[in-house]
Amino acid sequence: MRGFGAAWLVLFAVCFAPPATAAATASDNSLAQVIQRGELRYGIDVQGGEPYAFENETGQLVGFEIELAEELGKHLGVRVRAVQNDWSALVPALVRGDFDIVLNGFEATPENAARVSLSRPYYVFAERLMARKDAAFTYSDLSSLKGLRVGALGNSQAWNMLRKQGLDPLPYEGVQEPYADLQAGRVDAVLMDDIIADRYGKHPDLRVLADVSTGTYVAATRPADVALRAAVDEALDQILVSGKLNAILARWHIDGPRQAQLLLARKPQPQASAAVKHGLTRSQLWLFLQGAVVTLLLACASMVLAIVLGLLLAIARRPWPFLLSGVVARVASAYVEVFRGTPVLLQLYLIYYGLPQISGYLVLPAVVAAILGLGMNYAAYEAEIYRAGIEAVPRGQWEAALCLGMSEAQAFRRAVLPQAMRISLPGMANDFIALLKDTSLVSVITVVELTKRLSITAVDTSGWLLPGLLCAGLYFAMSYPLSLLARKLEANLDKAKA
Amino acid sequence: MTIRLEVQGLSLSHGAKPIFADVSFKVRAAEIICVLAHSGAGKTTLLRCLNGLQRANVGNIRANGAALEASMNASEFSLAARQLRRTVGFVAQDRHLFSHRTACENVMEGPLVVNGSDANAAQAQAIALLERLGVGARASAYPAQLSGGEQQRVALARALAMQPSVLLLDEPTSALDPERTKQVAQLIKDLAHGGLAVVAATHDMQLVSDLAAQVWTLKDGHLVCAGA
Repeated sequence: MRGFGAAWLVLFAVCFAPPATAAATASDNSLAQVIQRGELRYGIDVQGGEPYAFENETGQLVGFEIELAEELGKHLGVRVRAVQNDWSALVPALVRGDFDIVLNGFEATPENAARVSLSRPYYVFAERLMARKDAAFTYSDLSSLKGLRVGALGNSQAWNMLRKQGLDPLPYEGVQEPYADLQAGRVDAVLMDDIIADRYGKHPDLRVLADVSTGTYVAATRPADVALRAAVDEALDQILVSGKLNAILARWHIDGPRQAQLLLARKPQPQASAAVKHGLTRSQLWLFLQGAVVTLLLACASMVLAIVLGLLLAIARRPWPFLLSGVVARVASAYVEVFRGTPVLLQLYLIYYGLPQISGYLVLPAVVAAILGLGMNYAAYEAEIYRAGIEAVPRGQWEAALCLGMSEAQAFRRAVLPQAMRISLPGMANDFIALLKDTSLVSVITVVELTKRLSITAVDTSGWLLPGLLCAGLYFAMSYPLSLLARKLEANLDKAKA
Repeated sequence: MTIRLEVQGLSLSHGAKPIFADVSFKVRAAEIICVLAHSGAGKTTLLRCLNGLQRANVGNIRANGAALEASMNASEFSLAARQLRRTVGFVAQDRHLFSHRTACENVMEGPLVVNGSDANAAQAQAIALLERLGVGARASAYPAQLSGGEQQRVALARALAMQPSVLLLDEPTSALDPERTKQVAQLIKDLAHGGLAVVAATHDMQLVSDLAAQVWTLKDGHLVCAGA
């Protein structure tokens, strides 16, 4: 049966492929490859959560798109395999060939249609705008949100809609975080697909302002994979017509009258206005420069915190002749080990999303959380650099100060610390370069710095190479002078030692 | 003459090995004592004990009202040592000038930080001292830019800036040629003439003869007067 089904599909693909793509089809063996492999690989991001594709308590992948994929496999006569990929990078991963299709809340937008080949839709959703119940603003249309902080999934249809209205939405990567921030007052409104809003936006303090538009989810293939796209279209059509799709949606409680549009919905065609502009516009270049400034400011502020806190930690770890100095030293050592031994990304999540769960007073603005997270993490590294620097100052320098009648603290401050800092300077400069690059991590808590600007622009221009090179160039332009400075400091230090 | 430094029953041993035992002596104002011993005999350790950088096992040290006793607990000892050091200056063999400060700043450091002196007054005093020791022209040089002899004199100036009544010198001429040794010896004599009590640990016979001081030898842990 399987062989027969596959042969029928190949025939179907060849016969019903649109004439405009006939040339591509001649050398297109995308479907044949899938059939030969006996496996259709589909890209998903489990972080998208319920009810799309997620892991249940037993670690099994479940969700309406997982079930849809199984049905697709049955129709194509192959088994299916889910490939995990970051949602915002599903398209580049598809183009790279990491999987055959995207099947994960992929929206049929003109922007997406310009980058990949879209199937017929399998779900109709609404873009749902939510706010806190006590929100002071009134909503009339999207442009009335100007000046407010509005969150959306980065590079989603909602995100693009907001940007087209001249808003500067906060980009999120997960579905839970925007609503957590909405409750905490860090954003004023959230625009997301209603499936997400129903699951994650349900909270007594939140309310729906409006469903501002609708959209559809589609599968996507590489543009050249015309045969595969046609086979997927055909399979989806059959799944829809047979009522199986509705049964799947009903099982996940996301069916409804709106889905009747699926029978009428046509595959969106790329529009001229959405044609991808290769190359960067002047305003995009300007945005990149702004991203670079944000990166530099974040790095500087975090480094100041890291230096001050790191110094306090290094001082606290010394054996001082004070009461409880042993306890203080142990606490400081524990701090260094914990912050050095856990990922900074995790620390950022905990500070930004974890602290508000302890107290409403701990709802930190994203930039503050970013500086605090990076600064506290790097303080652990700085503390170690200073400790090594302090130990490198000869004991005789301490004693020379003590012999003048100074106290231990005075000897440390006047004689040891200035020399230790000089010894530590090259290491500090190196750390600052590392910190400059680590600022890219704070995009997970909605701060748009240089790397986040890159991923936004890459989607806009449908290419990673040019924005990627520009981004790399800007990082290099910021870090190279620091490298030179570090080298000069090292040379000076060697001279002083001589 | 007034007794400036009085040491009673000072003993120190590392494990079973005695470094010095039952050392007792007095140093009066304007007196110069040379402690003569071969390298490794424990002269440096003795000097370090005399200003509390190192702690003896038993015994006590008195100078200008400050008293340091081996039997004190750690915080008492640390406080007493600090008090003692205000009147007992020490110049280590390796000088240990602060490498991040100029010669002048090195000399100003004690008066500024410990005595809370005015910066201008401290600077004027530092320059006067450096000039007196023949290194006035090097006031703005960093230690790494100074010769061994210059460093020695700056270290001496740094100790003198605190106006001690006793000065402990560890191998004060180890970095100097015979000509400079004579000059330093003359300087020490001048200082002693002004009332300073000096204890110099050395194995430099020329310095001993130039100083024409009392000589004590440290042998097998015992300090013995060898005459003048």
